[in-house]
Amino acid sequence: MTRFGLFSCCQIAYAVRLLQLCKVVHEKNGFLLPGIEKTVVEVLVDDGRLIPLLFLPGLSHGDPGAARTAEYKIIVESEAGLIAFSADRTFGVVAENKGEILDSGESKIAGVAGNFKYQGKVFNILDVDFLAIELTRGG
Amino acid sequence: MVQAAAKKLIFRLGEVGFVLDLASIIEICEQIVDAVDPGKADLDSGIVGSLMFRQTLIPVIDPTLRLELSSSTAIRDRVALVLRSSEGNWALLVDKVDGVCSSERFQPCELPPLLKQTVNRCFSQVELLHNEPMIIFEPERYYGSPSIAV
Repeated sequence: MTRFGLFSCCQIAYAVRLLQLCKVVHEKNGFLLPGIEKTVVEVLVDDGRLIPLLFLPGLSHGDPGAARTAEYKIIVESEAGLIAFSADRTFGVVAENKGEILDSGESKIAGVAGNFKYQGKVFNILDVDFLAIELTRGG
Repeated sequence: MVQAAAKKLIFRLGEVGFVLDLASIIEICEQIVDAVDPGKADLDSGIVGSLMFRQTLIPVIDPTLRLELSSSTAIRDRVALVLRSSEGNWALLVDKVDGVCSSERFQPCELPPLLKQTVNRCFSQVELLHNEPMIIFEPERYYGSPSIAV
């Protein structure tokens, strides 16, 4: 059964599949590097590895400062390598059968694979593999 | 014979940290505001002026132009690192020199494939110092051919 790790950033709620969720870090500061795409907010260092912190779908025109100072950083594993997202709130891990997968219809957002409704809140299910490739290359 | 560990100079452009082999530096010049002549600028080449160094005019290169980094340091507070190259000495303008550190204190760090492709136009290697990525500065990207120690 699919389980989701749930979190939100700037009042937009997101879900990532538990199998892709590596780690949630608290109050970890990242670093700027020259040459990174504007969709990469900064780079985290975790266990000696560099991890790009990406703008979340829906926040593409948001303030990078807010993303950099977010309380939590969610590290996930894509097929192309580790990436991270900012979060100001986490909601734990929830099994798919505790909520409802919604039909997203035609109003699709790039990088969002669907929606998960849990306790009245709709979470954007992130397409981690797509985001890793598109956002680190400036898509 | 015991060889002394190589040392590296740490400097900053904005908040980004860089390291450079100490052996490639001839001199660190501070308070350069009156010594830099902006009349010889060639911004397409990153040259922001010239500096009289040991009776010779040498080009002053500001790497923030190519790296698209913003510097919040006033020109009077910036520092020029005079470097040698096969085409003669040149000055690298930096915001701040943090100090010198033994090479052994740096931890190797691989650039992940997701970043490698885009950052490659600016740098190709990083090392970690106290868990902070420090970019290995490659002078030949900015002026002349690889440096030759004399």
